[in-house]
Amino acid sequence: MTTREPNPPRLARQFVAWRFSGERQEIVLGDLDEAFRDALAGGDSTRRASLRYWRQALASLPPRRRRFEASFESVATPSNDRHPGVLDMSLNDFRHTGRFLLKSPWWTIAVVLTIALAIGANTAVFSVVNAVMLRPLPFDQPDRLVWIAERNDRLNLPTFAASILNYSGWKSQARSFEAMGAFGGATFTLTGSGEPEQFAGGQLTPSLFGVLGLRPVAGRSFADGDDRPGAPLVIMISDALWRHRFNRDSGTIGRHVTVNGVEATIVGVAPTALAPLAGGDIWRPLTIDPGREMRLNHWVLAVGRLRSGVTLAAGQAEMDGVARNMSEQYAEMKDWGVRLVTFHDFFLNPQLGTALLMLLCAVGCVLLIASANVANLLLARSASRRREMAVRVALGASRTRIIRQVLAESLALSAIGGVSGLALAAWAVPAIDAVLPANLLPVSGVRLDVTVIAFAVALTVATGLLFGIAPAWRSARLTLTDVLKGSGRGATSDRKRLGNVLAAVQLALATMLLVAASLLTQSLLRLQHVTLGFDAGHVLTFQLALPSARYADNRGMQFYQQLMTSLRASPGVQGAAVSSGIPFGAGNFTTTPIATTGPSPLPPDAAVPTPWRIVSSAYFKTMRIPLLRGREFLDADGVMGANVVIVSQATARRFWGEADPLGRTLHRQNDRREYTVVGVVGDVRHTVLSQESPSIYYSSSLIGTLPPMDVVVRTDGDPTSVLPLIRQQVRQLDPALPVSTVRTMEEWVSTSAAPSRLNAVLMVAFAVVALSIAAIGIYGVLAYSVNQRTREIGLRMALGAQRGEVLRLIVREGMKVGALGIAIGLVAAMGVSRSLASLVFGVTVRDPWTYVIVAATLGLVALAACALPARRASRVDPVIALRQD
Amino acid sequence: MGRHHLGAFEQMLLYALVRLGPDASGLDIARLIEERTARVISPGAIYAGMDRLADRKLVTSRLGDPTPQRGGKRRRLYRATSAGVARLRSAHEALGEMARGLQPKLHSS
Repeated sequence: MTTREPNPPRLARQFVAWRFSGERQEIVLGDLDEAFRDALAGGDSTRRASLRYWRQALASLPPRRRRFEASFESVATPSNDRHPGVLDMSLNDFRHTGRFLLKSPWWTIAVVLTIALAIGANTAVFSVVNAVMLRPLPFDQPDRLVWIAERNDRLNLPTFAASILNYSGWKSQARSFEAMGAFGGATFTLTGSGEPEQFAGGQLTPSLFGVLGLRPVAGRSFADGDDRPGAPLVIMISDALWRHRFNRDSGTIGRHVTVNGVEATIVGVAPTALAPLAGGDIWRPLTIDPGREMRLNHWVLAVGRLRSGVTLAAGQAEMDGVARNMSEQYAEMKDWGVRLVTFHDFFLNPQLGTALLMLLCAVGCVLLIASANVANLLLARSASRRREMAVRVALGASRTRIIRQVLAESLALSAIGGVSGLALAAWAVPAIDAVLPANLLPVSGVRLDVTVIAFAVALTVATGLLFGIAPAWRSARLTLTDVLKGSGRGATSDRKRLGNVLAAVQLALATMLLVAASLLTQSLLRLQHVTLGFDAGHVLTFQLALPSARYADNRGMQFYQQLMTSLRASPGVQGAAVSSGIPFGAGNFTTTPIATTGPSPLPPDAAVPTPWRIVSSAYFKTMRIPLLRGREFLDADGVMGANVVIVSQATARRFWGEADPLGRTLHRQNDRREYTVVGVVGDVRHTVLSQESPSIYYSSSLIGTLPPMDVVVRTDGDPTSVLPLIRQQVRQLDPALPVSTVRTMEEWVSTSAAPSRLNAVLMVAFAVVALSIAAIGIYGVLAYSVNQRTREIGLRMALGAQRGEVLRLIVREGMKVGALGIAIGLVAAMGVSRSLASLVFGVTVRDPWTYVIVAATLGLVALAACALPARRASRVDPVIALRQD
Repeated sequence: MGRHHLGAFEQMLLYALVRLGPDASGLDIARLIEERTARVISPGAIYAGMDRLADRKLVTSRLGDPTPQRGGKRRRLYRATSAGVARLRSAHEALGEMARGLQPKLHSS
């Protein structure tokens, strides 16, 4: 013991300590330690001695020890295990189990597949739930973060974006917040390093990073002063942009690039955690110039960090007071208030939460059905092993011992199924992550993490216990006398009743799933045939963002007019137009309070936030939005100095009721300039398929353009075929201008239906799986019953019963169970259907036809499941049947 | 025979105790069996076997003193009782009877 002596391997010691208790532990550990030190003293290397230690430690595992002793002798030894009990499986239990599973491999494969599918599906859906609802938001103390939204109950706007002026007012008055920040969207064209490229991004107040508790990955975040009007432009870039455009070069920080035609310095790289809140690749400071802001221009999202100890209710109460003061101070703030929304609610929109919970319940049902089915299969098998079990009980096997063995069998089944299911999920989860449309989930990345794996393991064990308990309990109650006494009739009918109940439960659950699946499928079909208000076929769209530095005044206008002229003259092009935001696209979704003068159903001076777009001439013709009254925009509208707008039908009705809208005027709330209505067009669905939005359109020649603008091109044939031509024409006009976000109009529409499609497809998949498992369940119960009654049936036939009568007897027996299950399922579906209300469209959740058709379908499936055993029963040969034991 | 029967492993343990004399530890026994039969035995197996022999009063044991070599842990020291030695002797004789004269045959096949 001169220098530091090597110690025995710690983990192995802990293992031994876990294996043995009390004095035995001390002595065995002592032996191992002594042997270890002796080996070292004898000149062995530490490694060799440790290896030997490990071998000895592992050899003290019960199976190893038993096998070793068995090599000397074959007498069973009483167990000295530390944790005896029902769940303490020994080698023997597992050997029995292995034999049991291998005896009928097809049965085992069917059961394992059922469990694997159910557990795999549950794990996959749970991985999404985990990512969206359980994983903490990537901010510092996210429970103290709130979205500070404006609200207007009279206009039915429960939450709305804030205006810069209101944000500034809140920031200076409210005491409940440690800090406040705000951000708004923006688009950037990056030039001066490689190809010109367009990026989405935002404008952030320098305070935002502090509010969220985020730190830049490299460089710095925005500092006070960066946002001063006239300060040199600094930008932050995303990790992705840093990687793919700058190879993560640390020299990127401090580099000068040209953004929207202005020289800017890259000061930092933002963490990916910013993405769910203010997504994009480039951010600049949000410059506040109060002189140029309108109090009703709602375009930023304000967030705040509540002081520690300040509750949401207290914060809300204070903000109510602040909002009241402001609405007294500023006339236009009448009816506007403030609502605080926790980040949890902000990120999890209720519809997504409902959809996820519904899917989780649905897969949960699939798992329950699978468990009931496996329980049934196990019961049927245990019936054929009753003699074996009874004999073992009679020979002195304890009840615990029998329960243990039966549980070992079901746990082994569920473990194999669970591992296969986890493998299935490991394959499915990345696939789901890849398939999910971007922006569907408020988080980046669905994956199998520790929580998900723990969930799968817990589910596996729970499943094994769930479907193992009924057979285990029954096996343990057996006595030899019961079995020998005329094969125990009471027990048989008992088992049959249990089997019937399990089959009915399966059918009831399958009915609920089928109702949900059919409601969602109908919604999807209706969504896909919804009148969009425009013709999405044969339309290619792309975005251009003219840097304002190079396209000041009306040079942007001229650019687009030139581009339209040359596009319209191109072969294969039917029409081309420009809009500040096409429906379902990635453009500017702008909304401003609008008021009218003169007679109106609205209260005088009421300003209604209305979506507006800037569009070029021929926009309605190109999109095939019907012109109902008046005229389209002309290229000359701006030149002639006429302030004209075109309104959608719903807008016209909102402002003027049934009166003629042509010639009436509208104005923005803080802007006395009046716009005369020259045309009325059809309503268009802009953001969600299930809702039309009333809107107004300004002529591009009048208002100018925004970066970015959407360009739509209607083609004769395949819309993508004109893309090379488009690129060439844009390059001719401006070589530094990127063509970005190229999609067909149909792609935009299809993306917007993605969540509904996903819901429907998953529900249908689950329902089909559930239905087939339930069908197998009924089949199993009946087949078993026919088997048991072969003698009785033979007797009936010997006494003159006809085939048809036997057939009817068996079918009636099966359909009684089937009808009960379906009836329970329909009632239960009716009960829970209301929770689906927010997910369905165009159909009520209690649509009677849906229920009738589902019931009929299930009835047919149940009938089919009865048919096979019934046929077999009707073919029973009385002579052979009566000769059976 | 029945419960008076001595298993091969139990015989092995008793042989070791007779050879080692009183106060043999589990580790001594494991080493002896390993030296003579080239079988590596875990301490767990030794003690489980000793428990069974002790139940039948064929061995007795006592706790020894802790030693630094064992990291301050005590050892359990075993010795065969006279009944144990007698039982081993009868088993040994029985086996000897069965084996007598078989030497050529056992080695020829």
